[in-house]
Amino acid sequence: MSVRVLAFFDARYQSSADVRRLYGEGDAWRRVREARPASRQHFALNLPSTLGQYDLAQPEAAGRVVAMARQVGIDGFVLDCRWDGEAYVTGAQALAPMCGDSFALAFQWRNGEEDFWKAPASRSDRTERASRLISALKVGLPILADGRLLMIVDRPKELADPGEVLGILKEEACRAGLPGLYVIANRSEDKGRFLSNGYDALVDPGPAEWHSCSPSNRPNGLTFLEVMAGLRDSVDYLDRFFPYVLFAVARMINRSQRGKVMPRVFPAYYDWALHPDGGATHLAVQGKPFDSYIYGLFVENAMLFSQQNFAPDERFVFLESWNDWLTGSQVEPSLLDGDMIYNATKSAIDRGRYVIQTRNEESAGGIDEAMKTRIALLVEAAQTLSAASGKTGG
Amino acid sequence: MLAGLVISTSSGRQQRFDFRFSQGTFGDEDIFDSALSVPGRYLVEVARRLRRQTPEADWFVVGNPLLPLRTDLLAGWLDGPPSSPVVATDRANFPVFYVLPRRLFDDAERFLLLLSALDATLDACLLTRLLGETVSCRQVDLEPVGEALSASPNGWVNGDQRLLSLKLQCGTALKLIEERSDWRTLPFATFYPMHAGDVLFVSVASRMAEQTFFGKHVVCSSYMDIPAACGSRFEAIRLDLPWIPRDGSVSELTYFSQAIEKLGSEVLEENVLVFSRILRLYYHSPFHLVDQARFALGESLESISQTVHGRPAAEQARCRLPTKPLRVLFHLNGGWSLKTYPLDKMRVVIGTLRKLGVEVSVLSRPDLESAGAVSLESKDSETLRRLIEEHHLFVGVDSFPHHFSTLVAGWPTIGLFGNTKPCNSDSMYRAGYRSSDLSLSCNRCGAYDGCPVFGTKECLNYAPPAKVVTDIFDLARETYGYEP
Repeated sequence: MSVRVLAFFDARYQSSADVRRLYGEGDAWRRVREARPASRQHFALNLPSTLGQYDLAQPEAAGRVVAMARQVGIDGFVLDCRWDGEAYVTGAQALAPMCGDSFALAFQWRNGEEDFWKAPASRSDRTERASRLISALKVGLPILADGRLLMIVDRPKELADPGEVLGILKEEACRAGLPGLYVIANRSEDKGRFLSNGYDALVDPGPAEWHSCSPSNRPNGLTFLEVMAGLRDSVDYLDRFFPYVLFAVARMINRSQRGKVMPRVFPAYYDWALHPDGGATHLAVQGKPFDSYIYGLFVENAMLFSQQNFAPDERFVFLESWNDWLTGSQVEPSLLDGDMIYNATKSAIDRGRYVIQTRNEESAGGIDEAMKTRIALLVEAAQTLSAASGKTGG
Repeated sequence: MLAGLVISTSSGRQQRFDFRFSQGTFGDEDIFDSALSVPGRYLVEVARRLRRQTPEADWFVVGNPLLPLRTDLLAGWLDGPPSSPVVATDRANFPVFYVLPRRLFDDAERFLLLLSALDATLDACLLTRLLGETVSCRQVDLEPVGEALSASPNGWVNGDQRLLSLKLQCGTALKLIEERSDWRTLPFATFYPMHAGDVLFVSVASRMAEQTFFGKHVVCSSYMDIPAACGSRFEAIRLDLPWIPRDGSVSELTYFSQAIEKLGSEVLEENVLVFSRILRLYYHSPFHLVDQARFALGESLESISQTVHGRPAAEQARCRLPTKPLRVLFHLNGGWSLKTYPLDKMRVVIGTLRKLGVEVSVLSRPDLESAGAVSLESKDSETLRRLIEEHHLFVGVDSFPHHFSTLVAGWPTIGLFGNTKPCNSDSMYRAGYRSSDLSLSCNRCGAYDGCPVFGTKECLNYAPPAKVVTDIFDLARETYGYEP
């Protein structure tokens, strides 16, 4: 099986009752249209072009969205699953009829928004809540990983008793007739904590949650004083700016030491609209929000990494995002960028798939684990010796 | 973007076809992306598609492949059904599209490789000769585009004035056609004289190509042994020039001009030269350089099964020596410093292999003898082949010896890739071949002397020593049943 590319999808752009109840009444696009940068260093938010400001509750609009995603080579969307106080809401009903023929849905459980899961609770209470969560995921054709429905846990550290909770969720999934649950923690590295708790894999966090390299601005006390004196733009102190290239490359370095972590790729990212009081994360390439060539390499190489390092049915790359207009990471064609990011995404996925096809995975069987361990120890010893001789000038 | 439009004068019917440079797909709209192809090669390919899909059409309107053109623009610039061939230009005589009769493609397809695609007058002269009727230039309503080509969004490279070589190529061919009444029968020679790996790729491509315009290959004197060693089907034309320096001190145009002078009238009067140096960003394409060369030589390559990776693997060779001790030959020096496997990692690899009882040889690296390796010298392909055959496995960076070992000798080989893309120059993945790299997001960066991301002198994308050693034992087990 080739590597599957799943795009995070914001389902709020629809007029269905449950979604409006969750996100508030009114037009969801309004927030994007009316957001105003607070600084000249903030890239302006973009708006959709080809697809327009759609309402996913209209089947023809949802159909066009899915058709464009399929055309770019995306295999499915990852939708947020949120608790609205009474039930879990995904907004997936609007997309469900469009699934099938190798396009499906997965979910990201926004567990950090629920106090219930942060505190101790009885097993029966947890089971009851878990069953509601699972029933919300039974919409549309699911994306299967290792034969099980794929779900990301957004805040794995905020789950009280994660081992028990994951066990309950998996039991409830089976009870609900699902083929099982494949649970991914939103973490950059394992350190033996997450996989041993029952997670099946990890996924790189989003750019705001994991600053994979040092920022290019390093505010200090003087910066603060200059801002307060009106001599400097306050975002120099409050926000963090990163070079896109370094940020993307740093995410792929030393991955083998981080455990089973699936790559997350993104064309651009600037989330000032989510941080009106400062604290935003900005990625930039020489004063621009994106560079389609570097982004293409990011996607293509992440696909190759996934192909080389994970089991055939667990090869994923997570694309942030299909339509997160509030962070500028959208792949959808836009007014300011036209089809550039969309085309760059398609080209990168095409290239990645072609290269993967060229690689024959069949092997007569490699050396055994004992030999691998022996090699690793010898290499480590040689590296230690080499480092020691370097220090002594030998 | 590549645009073609066909017109049938009998029915007055016009059909439009927009194509794109393939990024790894082989659909109806995809045309293989080959960095070694002149613009005229794409014009030929567009016309091939048009001819196949519209057998009744008698006129072809093909956009200049150097420009990002769409057929709706071409259609807007046409003023009625054509009655004679035309080169349509911008306001500065830059060719925008060509209106050509079907018979040109039937009679003289390969000569379209000689179009400059830069100078409408020159191209009109060439087409006049090819057709035996006057081809005129006609201006369309388009501001001059020539300057924009230095940074072409369509993927063409014009650094070091290399595109200007196309004018020189066209002018040279035009002179020949004017002087020789038998010009239609003259052999075509591909001008791709260096570097060693590239000469190898073209040689291998000549062997694989089922359809080619060419019969000869211009090669630098220092690489004259390579075509024969690689089983090239092309006759090699010797070029007594050193290969072009990598530091950019000599432009491609200057080099091509010096080469034409050096080749002399004897060669130039008997052969049609086609400039086949890299004209597009080859690493933007996922295709193997052998396939890119095959397309340039004339093959259309319309499915993955036709590519190097998609074809059945050729028979593989194996070392006849006893498997104990296992003997491994390394080549670690790329053509530039960032392409060389890092020294400290290499020392660790050699030390580990020696401790595990493996005999290690390296090509031209006496500095690694202190780590336990034997340094060997290889001055030509014959010596290299002998050295390879004296070892069970070959491990090399993305350079000539690696390609020779796997693509020519069929030897068990491991490719070490750092700042270049494996898919452009690896081998068929089969028993006896594998490659390694870390798939960092910066690959391929295109840098030479230092890492543009981290500022180091070495490329961080190379596989770590443990992976290299593990791959060696994996491959030894797979190919020889070797157990340490």
